[in-house]
Amino acid sequence: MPAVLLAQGGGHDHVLSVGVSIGPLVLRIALLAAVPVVVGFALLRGFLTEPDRRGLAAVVSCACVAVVVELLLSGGLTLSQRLVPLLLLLLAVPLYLALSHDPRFAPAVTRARRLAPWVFWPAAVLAAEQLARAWFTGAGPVITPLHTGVVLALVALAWFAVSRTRRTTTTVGVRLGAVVLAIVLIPSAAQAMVLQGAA
Amino acid sequence: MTTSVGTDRLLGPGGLLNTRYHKPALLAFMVVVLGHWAEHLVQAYQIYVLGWPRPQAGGVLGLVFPWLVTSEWLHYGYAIVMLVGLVILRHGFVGRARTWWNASMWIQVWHHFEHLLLLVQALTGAYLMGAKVPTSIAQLVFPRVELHLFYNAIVFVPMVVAMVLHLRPNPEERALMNCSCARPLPAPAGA
Repeated sequence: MPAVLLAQGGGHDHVLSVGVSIGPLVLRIALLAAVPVVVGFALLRGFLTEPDRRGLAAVVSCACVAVVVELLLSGGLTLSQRLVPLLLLLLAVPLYLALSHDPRFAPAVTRARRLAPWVFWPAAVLAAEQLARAWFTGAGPVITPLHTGVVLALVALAWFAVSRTRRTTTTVGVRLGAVVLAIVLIPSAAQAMVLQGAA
Repeated sequence: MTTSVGTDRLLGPGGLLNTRYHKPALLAFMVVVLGHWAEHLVQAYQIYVLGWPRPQAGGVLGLVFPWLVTSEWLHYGYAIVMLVGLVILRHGFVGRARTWWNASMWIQVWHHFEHLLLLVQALTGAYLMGAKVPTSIAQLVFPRVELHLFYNAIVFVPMVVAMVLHLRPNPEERALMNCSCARPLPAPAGA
């Protein structure tokens, strides 16, 4: 029976046995399924009517799954590991915004969705910076900034999915930015997966 | 307060488990929760009082089925049972009790996610952020705390508060309740 030791000093402090080992292929398949959903939504958003709650939640959930899988496959990010909970919180908020239908919180949800570009743009810029570092600088290992860029791009696109701005110019700007990011995300995620496979 | 709701649905708002059978369902749920705590208290006694080595201190279950307590499936299974119980029994709670019960439920959603993450890591061999062993998210920030007991405590405390408030509702809450959990009102003086 395969058994692995849980992290020393934390958790249950016991040997953790699961009985089977299926390998990381299933995680790569999950990433392969989730990323195109997020990218597809970003590319087609300008041509779609307002998505319903479930559709929106499905897209944001795919972004969440893809980020968690990335955290498992990446072997580490350029971010401090103490920022990982913050990263997950940044993903949980758009999921809540997509799912919420409680009238008590409706004004706050509407306000948060209007402010979504303020999270989208910083995350998108940071993602672009990480991807540029991986591809163009030639300094240091490629794989860590590549995975970091993919994770940040997914966070940005999760916020893009729930954004509902008032001004047309802001809406068009965010949609164009999301299209560019989505186009960059597909080869980045593919390269990250292949490099991880070769590692 | 009324207990007859005229439905034969088991789940959801107005379902039997949240109306006529809410009280027995909550009692059964509490038996499971308290049994889990009892196991951990026995484990603590074995370690800190009897001085047993940690791998041998498996509570009462561990004495009979040592393989069971080392299985992540058991821990994940318990996390699922807790989550299901908190989700399906929530509709029976109203007012302040519902707020506390919801708090417990959302904490358990996170706790369950942490267990799922550990299970997936153990199954796939891909560990979080390149760790050497399966690692939970909270361990990235708090590496040296007894997280399991901490999580169970922060789920348990709001759950108990919810149950106490559910047993002792104020008049507005009592009017909204569809189950028989609330303490009966004292008979008016002179009745």
